[in-house]
Formats: sequence, C-alpha cells, structure tokens
Amino acid sequence: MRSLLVILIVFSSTQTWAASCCGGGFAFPALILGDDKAQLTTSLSYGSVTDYVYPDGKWTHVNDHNVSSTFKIDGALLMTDRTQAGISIPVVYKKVSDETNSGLGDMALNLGYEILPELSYSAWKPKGLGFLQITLPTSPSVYDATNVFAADSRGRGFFALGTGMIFTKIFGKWDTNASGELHRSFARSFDSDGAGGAVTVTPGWGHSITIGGGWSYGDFRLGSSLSSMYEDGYRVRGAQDSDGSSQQNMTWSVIANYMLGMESAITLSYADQTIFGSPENSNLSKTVTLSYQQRWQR
Amino acid sequence: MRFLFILLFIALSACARKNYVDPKELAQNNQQQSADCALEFTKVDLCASISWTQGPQTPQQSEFILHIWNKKNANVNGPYQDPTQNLSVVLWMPSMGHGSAPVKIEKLQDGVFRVSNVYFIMAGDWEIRVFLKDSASTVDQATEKLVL
Repeated sequence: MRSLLVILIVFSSTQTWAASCCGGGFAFPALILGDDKAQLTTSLSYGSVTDYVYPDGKWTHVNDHNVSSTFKIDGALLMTDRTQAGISIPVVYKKVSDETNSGLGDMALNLGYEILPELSYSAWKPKGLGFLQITLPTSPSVYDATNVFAADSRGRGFFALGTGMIFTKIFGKWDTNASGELHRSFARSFDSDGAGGAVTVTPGWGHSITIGGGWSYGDFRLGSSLSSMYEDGYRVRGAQDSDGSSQQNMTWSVIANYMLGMESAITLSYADQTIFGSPENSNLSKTVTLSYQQRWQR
Repeated sequence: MRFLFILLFIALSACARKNYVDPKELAQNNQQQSADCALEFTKVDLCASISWTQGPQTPQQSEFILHIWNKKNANVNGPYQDPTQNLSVVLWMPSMGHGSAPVKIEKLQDGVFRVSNVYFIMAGDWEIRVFLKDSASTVDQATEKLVL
C-alpha cells in the first residue's frame, strides 16, 4: 500500500507543462518509484493558452484560439535493482486560429538511479531518485514551421540533456514530494523562411523546481503541487540577430488519483499557469490531463 | 500539517500580479510610431514609413503600405523612389527569437509597396525589419518596433 502511494505521488507530480510555441519546458520523466519492474503511463491532455506575459512582466489576454492536445506514452523498465531506463513518446495536436496540425512531438529517453532507497523505516529520510534525460528534436521547431501560425511547430526542436532528482516522503495519510532538474539545450542551424535565410539558434540553460503534497483516503489521493520553470533566451545569429529574453513561469496543479488495483491507477489533473509567480516572456496556459498507469510488479 | 501551512504561505505570497496592458493604448502607440521617417537607412540616405491598412493585429492578417523616399530632397509626402537594392521585409520577435511566415511585397508605384500576408503569430514585442540587399548581402537595414 505504501509503495502504491509513492507511485501515485510521483505519477501525479512529474508532469511538466511546456510553454507553447517556442518556449521552454522540459518533460520530467515518469520514473519507477515503487517495487515494480516496469510501468507504462498513457496520458491525454488538453491545454489552452489564455494569456501572454511580456518580458517586462505586463500581461495581455490571448484570443487566437491557441489550443493543443497531447497523447503521451511513458514507459520505464528496471535494468538492475536500482537502475532503470525509460522513453517518452508524445503525439501532439495543435490548433492556432483556424490552422491545425498533428504529429510526433519531441521524444525523450532517460536513465534513472535510486540514490536514496527506502530499505528501513525512517521518520525523516525520504526516498530519492536521480535521473539523466536526453530530449530528441523529433518534431518541427518554430524555425521549420511552414504553417502561417506555426501550428506545425509541435515541440522545441532542440537536443537537450538534463539531470535532476525527485524525493518523496509519506507521513501516514499525508505525503510530500520535491523535485528539481537542470537542462542544457544545444544550438542548431536552420534554413528558415520565417527568418529570411539561415540562422543558428542557441537556446542555453533551463531549470525547474517542483514541490507538492497530498492526502490519501483509501484508494483516493488528492494532491497539489507548485512548479517553477526558467529558460534562457534564444540567441539567434545569421540572417537575423537577436539575443532573446529569458522565460519564466509557475504552474499550480491540483491532482486526483484513484488506484484501480495493485497494478493500475488513473489520475485527473488541472494545471494553471496564471495564478502564481512572476511570469516573464511566456505564453500561459490552463491544462486538463487524464492519465492511466499500468505497472508490473517484481 | 506544519509543512502544509508553510506550503500554503509560500503559495499565497507567490500569487501572480496581473498587470494587464490596455489594448487601446497599445494600438495608439503602434500607430504613432508609424509617422514620418520611422525607418531610416543611413548608408543609402533613404527614409521609409509604414501606413497600416489592416492592423497591426494578431492573429488576423495585417497589411501595410511602405513609402520610401530620399531623405535629402523629399519627405513623407513624396516624391517617393525605389531603392536600387532588392527590398525584403522580415517580421521578427526578438524576445522569443523567431519570425513569422514570409510576407508578400507588391510594388504599387515608384517607392510605394504593399506588404501583405503579414501575420504576427502571437502577442508580444515584434519588429518589422526592412532590408535592402545586393544579391544575398545586406546593404542597409532599418527596424520599426511594435507591441501587440
């Protein structure tokens, strides 16, 4: 029961909402935290951009009907007692104004290692995992876009390497979790119609930090989390020159989980980027996600 | 329970301050910037101005007329003249570091061009970058900024 609760916490805290279009965002890997040898998570999310915040922190409402749906499959497999490998495959449907596009988003591969195993009872020591993740530019970026509103830009389109940690702790019916990651996205060159020629784009560094907590009653868990993200500005050289502005925003989520049995669970979550923080240079969205997770015990 | 109170305190103290801009004020500013020699090509002694016929707006299409004149012997009212170089216009969002779909340029008369297919793909700070090019190399460049 305790390990199932751990799974629910992580299941509901490791979703990251990327800023739409060309913004930042790093999908946290869905790691195995319980006593399982494999797990498969499928999720369907629907998000709508409602506001844009300028680099100087001023806000404006967005009315371009910018919505997206993402169907994502996250798989993780235990390699050794403490090591695991995973893959994330998102399929994105995007609509901006009257323009639509769908296809593969940016895929990710990850390796996880249990740095703080929970082998015996401790009143304070959390369970912890570290991970490495590489994000692959398997979707067109905004520089590859051929649609007028860049609806065919379904991801960032850059190679990125990230590392992070996640910690969880259960206190009876209550639980807490904290996670953080740091990533570096690498420069790419594009021959872009929108830039009027060849450009080299250097995205730079980014990070995110999440804290959350929850309360359980039987097979139900109700949780909430607050996640802040930062992404360096894009430096562009070539046919166009610009140094870009950094992006930052904060996502508040409320999450409801229900365990269907020892090896499966469903989650419904709502995430809102317009409530907390001091966002800058960001499209802010509201997203609803429904997830199902199947696990295979050791 | 103590942790949850701390979490609640952090969350409440981090509430977003939604300082919305006035859309009317933005529209006024964008029109004001389009006056007189808004675009100055210092190397070739030319001036240009932008007159919006649609917009500027997002996400709907915008369109403008570009007037070009010699800054030594003409003014915003004319006479207008063609640049000797090739004219190119790029919409660029410097804060995000990306552009938009290519615009369409149509000559109406000497020194007067209609620029259509102007789509600002999102709200934010934009630049209209006008280039004068000999083959692939840029001879001169001027930029007008606007906020949508």
